[in-house]
Amino acid sequence: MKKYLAVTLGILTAIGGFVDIGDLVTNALVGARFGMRLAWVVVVGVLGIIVFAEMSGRIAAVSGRATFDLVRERLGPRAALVGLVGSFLVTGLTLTAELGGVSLAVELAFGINYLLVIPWVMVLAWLVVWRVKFNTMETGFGLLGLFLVVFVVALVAAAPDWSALGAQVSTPRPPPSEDWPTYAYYAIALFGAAMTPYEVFFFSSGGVEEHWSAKDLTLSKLNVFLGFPLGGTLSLSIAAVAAVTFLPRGIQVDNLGQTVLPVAVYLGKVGLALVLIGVFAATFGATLETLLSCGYSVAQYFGWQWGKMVRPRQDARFHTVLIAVLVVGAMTLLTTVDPVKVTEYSVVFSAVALPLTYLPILIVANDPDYLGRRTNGPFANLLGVSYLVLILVASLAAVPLMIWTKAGQ
Amino acid sequence: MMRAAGLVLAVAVLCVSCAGPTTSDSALLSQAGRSAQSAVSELQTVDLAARTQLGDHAWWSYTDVVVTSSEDSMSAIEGTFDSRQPPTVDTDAVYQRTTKALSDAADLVTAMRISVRRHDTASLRRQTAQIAPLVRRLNRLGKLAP
Repeated sequence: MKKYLAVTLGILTAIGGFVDIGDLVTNALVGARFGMRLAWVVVVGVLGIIVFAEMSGRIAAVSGRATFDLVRERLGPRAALVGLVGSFLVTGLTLTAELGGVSLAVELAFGINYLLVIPWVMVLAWLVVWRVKFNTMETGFGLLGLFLVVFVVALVAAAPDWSALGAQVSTPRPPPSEDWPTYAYYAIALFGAAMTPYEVFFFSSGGVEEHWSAKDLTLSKLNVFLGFPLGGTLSLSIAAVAAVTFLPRGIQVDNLGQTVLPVAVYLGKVGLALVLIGVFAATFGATLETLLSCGYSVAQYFGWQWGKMVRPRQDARFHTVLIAVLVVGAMTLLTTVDPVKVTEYSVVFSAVALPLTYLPILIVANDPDYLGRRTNGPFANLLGVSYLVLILVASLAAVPLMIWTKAGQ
Repeated sequence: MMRAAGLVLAVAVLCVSCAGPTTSDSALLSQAGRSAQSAVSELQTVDLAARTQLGDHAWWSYTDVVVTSSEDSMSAIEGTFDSRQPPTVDTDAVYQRTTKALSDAADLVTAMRISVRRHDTASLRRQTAQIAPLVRRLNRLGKLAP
């Protein structure tokens, strides 16, 4: 019974922890502009993150070592350094966006200017990383993130024309008011938001923190195969409720207040309170994940002690990286740069950096020295290689499309 | 290689952040149309937020944040279009019509923000009723965009 509870808890945590500021903003923005015509990208992205999260979870469980640790050993310091720099910068940018998301959620709830909230969020994030146990942290914020299910409830309460939504889903092309380059640009942004690199670093390093072994492979797979698709459903519901509410009115989403507005429209104050708790938990949880991922990747590359399983005094360099990244993220936001713009750029730059993250994982997942008989099978390799081609195309097209469309304007 | 990649990304962000000059009548018409569409988006957001507030479906501080954010955006849209110069006399009329409509929209959003901060439901209700005609006016201008 206890085992089933642990499995259920793990899956619920994976659902609640799947959505972050990138998913919240990008899905609402895309739903408001394109309806459900880009829903297929979310499905493709969720399948992609499943493929690679499963591999990195398996690597962690079987080898007992995290991704960057093995990437440096397997590919050598120079190749691994390129991956480290790309992933670290994108994860740092994502952290900045998440910090902004938490602060904006507090502003929406209490009316306190988000700039005044940022320093407090920074201190709170540092305290949680410093003091709270890994498992408590992950489960707590993952479960609170489940409040985002109110987006699904709001969609049902909106009583939309389901056949019209279905027709949009089955029309994978831009509406008459939009052009193909803009459609492609937002497809890449959605793809980047679904496949953010930090998710796999955190997943594999978290597995090591929780002392996964080959016996935990089933739990890891259940989290990935059930938790992530259900998390993806939350993303789709955010896009759908934005499509129903904003598209007919010609509203373009450019702030977090608009993202949660449909929930208030259809569910009132209780819905609004729940969705803001969900947004706070999702973005704060992602703040912790991105923060730790920055520390994990640097510490694993340089072979330092790392993780919350070790006393801070014993992994001082790891914690110094965390504090430095946190301060830089907060200072960036305090320049009054728009957190939503930071989010939009972070998901596109995520797409640019994707090959640097996922190619090494695919290589290590095929190495019997680390995985023994649990290396990738032909199906996993077929999916992995297909996704790498897709990732490469998205990565190469992201910046030209950004310039061509003026970042989707 | 990493420096080059960083440079490319920085240039990309700078490129997308800059507004180009208005060199032809068609460019001005297009900018007028896009500004009007953006203004409609902000007005409709304020309308939805205000109606949600009037229906007691949200709390004042939340509505304040949403309306203030739209006010900031309206101000940016108005300021950007104001800074344009019609290249020939042929587009003077469109320029003036658009500037006036954007200015009216910005003034209305500001007035609504004040009502929200005062928790003045009577004024908010009256102002919300003024949004629809303004949206129709801006929608006509919005059709100028290609």
